[in-house]
Amino acid sequence: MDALRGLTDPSLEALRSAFKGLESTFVEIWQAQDDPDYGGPRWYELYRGSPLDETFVCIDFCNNVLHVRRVGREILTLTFFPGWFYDVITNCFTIRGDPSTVYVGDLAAAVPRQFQLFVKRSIPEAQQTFATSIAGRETLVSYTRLPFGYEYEPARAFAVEPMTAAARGFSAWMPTTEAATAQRVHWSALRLRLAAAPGVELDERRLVDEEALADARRVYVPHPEFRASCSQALQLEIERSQNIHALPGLGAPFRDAPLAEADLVAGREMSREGCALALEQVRPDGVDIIVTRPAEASSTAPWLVEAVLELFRSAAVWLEELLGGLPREAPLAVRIRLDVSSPEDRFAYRIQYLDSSRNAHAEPTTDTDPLEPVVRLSVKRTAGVHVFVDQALAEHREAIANRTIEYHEEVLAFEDVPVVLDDSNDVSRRADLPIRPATVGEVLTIAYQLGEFIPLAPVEAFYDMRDLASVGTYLLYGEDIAGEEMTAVDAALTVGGFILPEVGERAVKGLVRGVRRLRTIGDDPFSRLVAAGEAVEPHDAGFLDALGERAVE
Amino acid sequence: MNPRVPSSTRFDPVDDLLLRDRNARMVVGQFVLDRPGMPTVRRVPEQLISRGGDGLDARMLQEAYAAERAADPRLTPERFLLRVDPDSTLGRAITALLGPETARLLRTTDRAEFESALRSHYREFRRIPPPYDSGTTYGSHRYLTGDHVPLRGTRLRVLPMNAPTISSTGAIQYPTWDVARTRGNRSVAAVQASRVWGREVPLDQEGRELFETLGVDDSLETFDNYLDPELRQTRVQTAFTLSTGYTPIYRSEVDFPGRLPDDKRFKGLRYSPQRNAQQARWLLAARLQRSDILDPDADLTAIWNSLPTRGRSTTPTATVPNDAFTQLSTDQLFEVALRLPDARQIRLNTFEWEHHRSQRFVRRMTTIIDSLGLGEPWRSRLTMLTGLCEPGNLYFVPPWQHAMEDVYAGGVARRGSGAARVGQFRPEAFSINRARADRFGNVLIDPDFARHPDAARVQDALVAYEPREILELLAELNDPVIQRAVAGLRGRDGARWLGLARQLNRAANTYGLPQFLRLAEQIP
Repeated sequence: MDALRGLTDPSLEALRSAFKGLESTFVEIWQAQDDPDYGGPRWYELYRGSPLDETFVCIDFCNNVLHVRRVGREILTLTFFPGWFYDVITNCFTIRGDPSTVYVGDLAAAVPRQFQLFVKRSIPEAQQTFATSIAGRETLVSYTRLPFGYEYEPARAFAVEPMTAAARGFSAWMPTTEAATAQRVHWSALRLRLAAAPGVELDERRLVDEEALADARRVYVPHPEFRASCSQALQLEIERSQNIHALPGLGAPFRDAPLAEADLVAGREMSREGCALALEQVRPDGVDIIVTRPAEASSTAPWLVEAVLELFRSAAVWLEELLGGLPREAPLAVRIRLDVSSPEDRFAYRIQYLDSSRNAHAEPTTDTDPLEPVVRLSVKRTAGVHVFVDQALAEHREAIANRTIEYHEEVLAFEDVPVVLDDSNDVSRRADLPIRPATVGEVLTIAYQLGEFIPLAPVEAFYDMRDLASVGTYLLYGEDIAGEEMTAVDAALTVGGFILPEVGERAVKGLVRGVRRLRTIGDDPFSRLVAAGEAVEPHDAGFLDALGERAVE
Repeated sequence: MNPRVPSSTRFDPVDDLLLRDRNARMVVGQFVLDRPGMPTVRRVPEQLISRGGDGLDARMLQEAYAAERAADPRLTPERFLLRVDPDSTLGRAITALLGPETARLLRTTDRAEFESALRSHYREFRRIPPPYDSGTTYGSHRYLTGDHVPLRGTRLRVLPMNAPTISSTGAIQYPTWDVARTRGNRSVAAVQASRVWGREVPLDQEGRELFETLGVDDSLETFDNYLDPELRQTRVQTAFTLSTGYTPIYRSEVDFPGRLPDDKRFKGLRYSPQRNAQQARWLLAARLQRSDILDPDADLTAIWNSLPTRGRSTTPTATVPNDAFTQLSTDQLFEVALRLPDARQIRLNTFEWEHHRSQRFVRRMTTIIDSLGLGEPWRSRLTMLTGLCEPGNLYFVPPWQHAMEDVYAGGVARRGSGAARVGQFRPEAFSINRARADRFGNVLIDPDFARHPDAARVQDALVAYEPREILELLAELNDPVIQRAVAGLRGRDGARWLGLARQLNRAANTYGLPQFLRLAEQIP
């Protein structure tokens, strides 16, 4: 790349005009490059300003740029430039030269992006009052929480050691002479998590058009002697939390998304034998509620195994266009979903348990009628929030759903949706739960999710292995083991599946250390599972056989 | 494009491995697979509290908390967790979330109860990972509410890092970093020991007693540590760490006369005669199977003289990598243990505790507290509020990783250039931006760079703090005792205080904390 080429080369017209719009931003970024306030401290980044300032710039070691501008407590604009794009602009329009010698593995996907968070409506629970002692006197301090926040993590290096003979053959691009000794180093992409309370508008703007990007890609020449690779497509997560307390501060270090495992555990704690069970899982875009009727068997394990088996089976059957049915006790997945980018949506919900005379209780009851609904779900929501049951293949799902759940809802304006539903503001209007047909992928996902609730060691081991593998590949390449793109939320959920979410960060760190020591061991996890299965009840062995068959295929 | 890279080949060795070879699997965190029917999870109360520090993540808990809080603004999430009746549904849910032992640790203010909960907690850690690298937590909210466990007189040697220390006057104080580090190391060793020996390890023993309980031998077999695969310790090393609280060795070399001063092998290694003497004693006790060597008042010379092999012992042929002590003969070990002038010098570096950015802020705070001439309880309160010894902030890492996590700490921590440390361990990682790495090596670690007029502004640990923590810190600094002391500050001390005041005010501004909490930005 020739310095200042962009100013004169006629073939770069599109890039030149795109740069005009970006120039003021780049001037601030170059200030950070030329005269940083501070370097480090995490991964050799350069900083100008602090996230608590109005303008903040971070250039990470792979030259990925995060540029943040905040206007008061109302507007937050975050701009991301991938390292290669920064290199192109910097080298085409200035005489600075600090190109990184790194192989960008995802050049096509790594594009500049800009997000704006804008407070459109404020919510009442943002107001906080705390008692603290000042000069020995107890004083009440009130403040209003920022309704948005973000966390980021600059690129960081992973070293993968080639260990065994088996592992040595796998890399096509590494010369064999080096493969025996050299370390593989891969830098992760910059991670950014935007979090907003209800009422905050979240926009993504198109920053650079395709033509200009094509120009830039044409000009970009990777350094011929790269020794490390990296990903540069922004790893973005967006959270729209109904709970404003769950928002991070500004520019906080990355933490795993707080997960609803707490809700699951709490729900499971409430479940008792012979009672209906409603497990909730809060997600950044809503909440999942899994409702099951009381099982007839004494233990919860068999019906869950059955249900999962059934779902696996019926998925296979469905694929062959033979419809299968579900047992009545099969869990129903109710989903409450909102558009994470919309400032207009919020909801509140409440779950109650019904006894045989349709009286609602906060706690599960054993006195249920097998033909009547066992759970009452009340929702107050704005119009943009969707509540529906995933139709997992069964013919009469609709009937089952409405026989299991008594659904109440009220659609209100944003200001009228309460923070919490309780007896004082309950919903009396009954409604039908809409059913949405599930796709094959969703069906498998549901089956998969339900499987994770099975408290059987071999099944858990299966999930754990898959989880660990996924987290490992995610950390390196942002994808799960199937090569599907995986967001950090997925990864966090995956980590959360076996390790507590808030310690996820630590767990991930532990895994990072582990990933440095990738090893292959020549045993077959599936045969292990089948062997483990033989030790458990014959009832569950079928499930494990099925797994074994899958493995043989 | 480099010709070595076929454009269609994705860079994904792990995918390749897993998809191409069904027999392949990754072994990361083997403990997960080794747990027949055991729960995988133990939380600590801090992990139920949301990121802003003023709410709870789980809907069930948050709703109950918000309802109670409407009536009582003094209620904090920690207090709420403590106050819930353990037998109610909510209480049972909290117990299920935390695990029975952590729930007991949270709720109790009774010493015996606390100790027994801690013991059974460590019994559990044989199978499940502790919530934090350094074990569990004491609960810093106790410092704010005063619900302390009277730990005075406890025999426990393994305690949470942030458990209080008792001053000579009986005052309860937040621990200093040295105390906390020792506790963290002991906890790591206690968990490791219980896994290596496959039994419950006494948390209240040390020295000879511990040696005898565990039946330590001098076998060279090393064991993978649950925290870091690079930490491989023998039994005697594990017991030594558990007993003394010294940080485990990362690398060590036997120094020899006439070596070149710039010998690369010795770069970054330090020599501590005191530690070496201790460690030599432990190895001697294991090698000779004589626990009396570990008595503090043991007559080592007499023991040495009584040995038939004295003066004729040979250096071992088999050694433990990274542990230079195992290269020494028995006679040489006695010399080290007795700290004789011509004893072999073993230089070593250790694993390290990485702070999540708070340590530098704490250092600034303590400098300011010192310049104010205020001792306890101000030091204790302010270091607590800045989270110096909070297990959630601390990670046990090898030195190269520490340098990569926190180049600044790596460079400033009196061990030469951070860039050099990083380069020494992982040059490939940094070959991609050589110019930047050079600049870091030469400029950013340079003390002059730290005096850049804006360095303090950006070197802003406060971004990692939650609004509520900033609020507490400001409330504390507004105390008239501190304000009176500030009025006397001049020169550099004054400038340092004003820098802190400005930084805190800015955070208060950003988070919308009320005006009356702001600190004066001028010294009267």
